[in-house]
Amino acid sequence: MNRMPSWMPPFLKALVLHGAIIAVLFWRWQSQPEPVVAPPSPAPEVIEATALDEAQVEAELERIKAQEAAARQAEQARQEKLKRQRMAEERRLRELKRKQQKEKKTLQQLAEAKRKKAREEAKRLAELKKRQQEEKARLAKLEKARREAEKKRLEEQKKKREEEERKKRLAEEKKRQQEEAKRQAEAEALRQQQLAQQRQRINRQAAEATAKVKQKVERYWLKPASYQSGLSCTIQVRVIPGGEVVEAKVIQSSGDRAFDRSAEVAVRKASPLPIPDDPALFSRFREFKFIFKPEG
Amino acid sequence: MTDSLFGLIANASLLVQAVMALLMLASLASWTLIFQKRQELNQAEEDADNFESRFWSGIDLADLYKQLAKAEAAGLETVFLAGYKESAKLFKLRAPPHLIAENVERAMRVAIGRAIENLDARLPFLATVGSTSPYVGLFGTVWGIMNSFRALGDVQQATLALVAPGIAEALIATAMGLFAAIPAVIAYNRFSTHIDRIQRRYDNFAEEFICLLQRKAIEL
Repeated sequence: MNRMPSWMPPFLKALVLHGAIIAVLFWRWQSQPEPVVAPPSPAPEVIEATALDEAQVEAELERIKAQEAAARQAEQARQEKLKRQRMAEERRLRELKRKQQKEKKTLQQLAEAKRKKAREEAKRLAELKKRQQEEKARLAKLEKARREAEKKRLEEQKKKREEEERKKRLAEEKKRQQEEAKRQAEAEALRQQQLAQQRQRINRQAAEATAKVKQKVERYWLKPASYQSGLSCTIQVRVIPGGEVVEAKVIQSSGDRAFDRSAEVAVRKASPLPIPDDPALFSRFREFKFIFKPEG
Repeated sequence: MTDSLFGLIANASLLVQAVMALLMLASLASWTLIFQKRQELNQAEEDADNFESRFWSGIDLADLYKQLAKAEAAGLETVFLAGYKESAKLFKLRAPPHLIAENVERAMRVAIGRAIENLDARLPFLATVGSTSPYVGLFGTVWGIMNSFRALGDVQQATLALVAPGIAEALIATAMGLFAAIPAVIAYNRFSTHIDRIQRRYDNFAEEFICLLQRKAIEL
């Protein structure tokens, strides 16, 4: 029951604030308008009275009346004078006003004239400007046409030049190609010739080498007992560089097995075979067929 | 009779008095709300300060989560709780890092939305007081002046002294309307910028937290 809701402390604060503000306002309110409320009242006049006799009083009254009449007359005269003065003043004012109006009118006329002049001037200027613009536009148009013609001419020139250049280039290209072809053909012919010569040389050397091999093999051949002249067999031989025989095999028999074997043995014994070292030639003898046909 | 402020109010017509009472109540309510909101926002800012210093002190996030889950969380803490809970679920599911980041961001955005909604609550009341109470006061004044002119029409010889008190008492209503409106408008503007600042702060924290989580997810 003791716990306050959460909005209570702020509410109390707000309440205190309002109370304070209202108190301050009250205080200000009370203190400010005070001097206005009570205007100072005039102090009462003190009258001093003394006893006088009748005649004296009468005389005094007469005197006072005469004085008052005189004063009234003087007042009337003063008022009359004032009235005249006022009328004169009014007339003067009216005069002044009329003058002012006149002046104003003249000023207005002047201003009107000035405005008119300004308008005409503006119109003239606008006209001038328009003409200038037209002139400018015409000039621009001319300039544009001239520039376009120039451009066209230049373009045509350029085109022509390019065309000529292209033709020239083409002709040169063609000539160069022809020369190239001719040169190539010559080179080809030369190469062919050289190749043919080389082939011939190799063939010759190969034939010589074959003959030498045949001689050596025959030298190492032992004639078998059953040998009959006229037998021949084909042997496939594999050698390594230097002429060493790696394999010798009869691939086409002579019909006589003893002869075949003797031929194989002869080839093995003849190792190393007299094979040329020239690599171009050796490639032919790496694996070659060899017809063994002894004479005699 | 017309000297004191209280006299002026007591002499006013019933409708003008009602208007004045209404404005007085509005002023009281808006000041109550101003004090309350100010405290709330300052509290939120302070809480966020505390929490952020704790978060960046290098404490293990799981520990922090346990501590916060026990106590009553508010503001930035609820944002952290929402994000952490979501990330824990997703880590358990072995979700890819970008999915974790996306989901956590969403969860945190919802939490931020709730927190800001709490801070925003009842703030429109200030705006309403600020914008309408001058009109209410003006209405009281117009009514009072109307009455005093009507009274003026009944007498033969009108003097200023006859109408002045009536107008003065009617003008009190306008003064009260302004008195209620000005602080309300100022407070509304201040609070809305303050809430914006807090929201930016929450958003920044959420971004940082997501960064951290995504890095962790990639490391795992």
